[in-house]
Amino acid sequence: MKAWTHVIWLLAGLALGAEPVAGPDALDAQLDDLRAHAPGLVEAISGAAPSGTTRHGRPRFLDEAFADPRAWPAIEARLLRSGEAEDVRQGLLAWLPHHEGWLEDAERLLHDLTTPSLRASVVQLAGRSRAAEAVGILSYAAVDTDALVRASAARGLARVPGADKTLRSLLMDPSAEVRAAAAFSVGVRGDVASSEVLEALLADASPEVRLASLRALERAVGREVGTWRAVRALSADADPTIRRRVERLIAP
Amino acid sequence: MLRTRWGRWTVGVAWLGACAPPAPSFVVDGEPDARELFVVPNLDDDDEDGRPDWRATRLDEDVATVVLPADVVKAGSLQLSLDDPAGRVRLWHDGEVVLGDDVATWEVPESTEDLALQVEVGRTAHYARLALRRLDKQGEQKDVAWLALRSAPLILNHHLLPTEHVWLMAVEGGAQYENRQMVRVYDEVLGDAVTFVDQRQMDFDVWVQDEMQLGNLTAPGVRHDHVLDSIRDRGLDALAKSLRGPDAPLETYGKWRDANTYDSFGNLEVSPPVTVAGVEYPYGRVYFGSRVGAAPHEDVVAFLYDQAVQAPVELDTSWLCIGHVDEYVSFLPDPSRDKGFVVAFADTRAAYTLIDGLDGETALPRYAPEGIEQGHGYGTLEDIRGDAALRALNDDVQRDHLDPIREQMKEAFGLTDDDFVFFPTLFEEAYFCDGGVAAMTPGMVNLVVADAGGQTHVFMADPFLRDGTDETTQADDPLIAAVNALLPAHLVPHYVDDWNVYHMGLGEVHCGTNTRRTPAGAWWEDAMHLVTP
Repeated sequence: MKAWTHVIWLLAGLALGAEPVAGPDALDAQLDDLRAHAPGLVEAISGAAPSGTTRHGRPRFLDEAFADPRAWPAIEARLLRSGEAEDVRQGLLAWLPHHEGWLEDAERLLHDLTTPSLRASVVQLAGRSRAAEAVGILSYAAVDTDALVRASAARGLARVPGADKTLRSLLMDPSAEVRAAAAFSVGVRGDVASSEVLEALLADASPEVRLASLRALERAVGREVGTWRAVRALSADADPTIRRRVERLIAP
Repeated sequence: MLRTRWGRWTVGVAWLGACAPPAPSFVVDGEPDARELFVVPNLDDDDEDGRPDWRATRLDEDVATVVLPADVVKAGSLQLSLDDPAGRVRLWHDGEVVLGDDVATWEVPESTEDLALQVEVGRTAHYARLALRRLDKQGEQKDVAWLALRSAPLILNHHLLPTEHVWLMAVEGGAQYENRQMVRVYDEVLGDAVTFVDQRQMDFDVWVQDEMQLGNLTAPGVRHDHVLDSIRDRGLDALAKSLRGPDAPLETYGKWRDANTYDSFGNLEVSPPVTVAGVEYPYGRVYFGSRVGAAPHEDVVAFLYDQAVQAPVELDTSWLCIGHVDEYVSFLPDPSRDKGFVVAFADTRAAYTLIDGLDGETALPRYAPEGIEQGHGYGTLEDIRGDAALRALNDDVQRDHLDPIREQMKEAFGLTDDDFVFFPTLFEEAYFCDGGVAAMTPGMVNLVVADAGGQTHVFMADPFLRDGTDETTQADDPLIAAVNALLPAHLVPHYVDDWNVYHMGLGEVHCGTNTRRTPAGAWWEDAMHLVTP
């Protein structure tokens, strides 16, 4: 692609609110290849209207073209360049895991997408994969500037092994949402080494963090945490869910 | 001439009685000295102009008649007045408004015949009073009779009421987005009692349950089929609006721009009749979901509380992605039980108890596809039960949400542990939903009860927890077997394929339907203890 077309793409994309594309040449080559081998597929994707919506209103693209395992470059092009509303792009992104090698595309998207909720969804998809190869994406996302993305990474690490230190560091994140998500994953992993940090988090200002830490300790250490002073102190917590949980723990 | 002393006294009283005008009184439905009048509010749309008839100030048949007897009226000096600060009552006489619309009193004309008045009310569950005063020459009250005017509360229908009609979305969006089997089963079972709504005419909005809640307004001898129209106002708003007409009012509370997920009416359900701490609720209790800081629109909530006879219960749905009560609880008719019903309640423990006892190698072709639109990324049962994060999530859902909600429901609906049956259900973190969860195994409590052909049918999502992708393999499904074992014996279960359109869209069978039912009972006789004043 000529340099000037790159600039036009970039300006057009920015004008329309689309994601700036770091390296469109490779994607254009993929689109050209797709046009050659699957005539009409690119147009079918780019022109498809949503088939319906989820119950909470996210557009769903269920035209048969989207299920074609070759379709991803066309979907990605629309995702990155159309300037469509965020929920529409969430609907497009939902198709990311439907082709071979999608985790590589996920990694690239994490770089290219500027909208935090879209990056968070990429990370969520990576975590859902339960694939060991996703640990790189999750680790990268764990230092994202946006808390939504870091929280998604923290939750994903409950299902993807590795990155122990990264996960532990997220327990100290400035965002309560991230700390709570990290506590959940630490608990799922049964990471006893994080017990001290989790115990400290029982006094966190956020009820979500206190609850997640309590659950995590119960999972990692066991019901004996019911004898801990920091746990028993939560029997007077302002949050009724936490109080109920502690009551059950300390009950004979 | 009567000669006895007693005789003179008797004649004297008779003479006084003949001279004194009779005490003011009202006649309602032929009953003299009536104290109360029950009326259906005139909120329907007889002239089909798209507005409630109340707003048209035109006399029609949706009024109740009260009669002032001739012997009362002919004596003259009568004044009628209305105690109705809210201004939602009109009295008509000879086709003219004589009271209401800012007219507070009316001097009743003398007449030798009964004088008929028509009472029109413009609001549900409304209370006002009518006073009929006899005045002396100085205009002071000599005597008075009061008549309480009560308009029907909206009574939303519940699963023990007979089914009249079902609306179901028929989706034809290609191989990946259709519900043909679901449509076929409904058609076979319900026949003419089901209307298949064309998705294309509803702007591809498939969530029939969420757009409207159906109920009734009744008074002696009168029935209106009421549509409570949600402010979610997506494509199916057109269906709700199409049901408005003569004897079919439609009301909307709140503004669409304020709508949130809690305003969808899958989040507004009704229990069957219950008795709670000695208080009978013969029409059940309304329940809806909310979370701290978010709930259905305050106008809807205020309206529901105002109806009084189905006193609302608020349940926690904060932990769900969608946040609707129909995601975890429903009521099933069960004539073999004293209460007449059983509570179907989602339960993650029951799900793990079930799948932990099954062959882990069982392939799950419906669950296998990766991603969001087709499957859940679990190729086998072992993949599900080996996912520690999923197990932990469901453990938290059970202990911190479902168990406490069940305890709350026991108290709010007068239930015991024996009133519940636990439908095995697993939840997962939903895509693009800030950590909220949705059913991962199809939410089978999200069901529809309908009777047809002398039988009571229950439609539920086919869970596909088996190595099979169509209904021919349902007999092999352990989750279907488990649910069949929980169902009341008289129910006929139907497991329908809602996977692509509803399940993967974060809803299930109930979300795709709506049901009109036949009202039962007489609230003016059996629910007055719930009505204030």
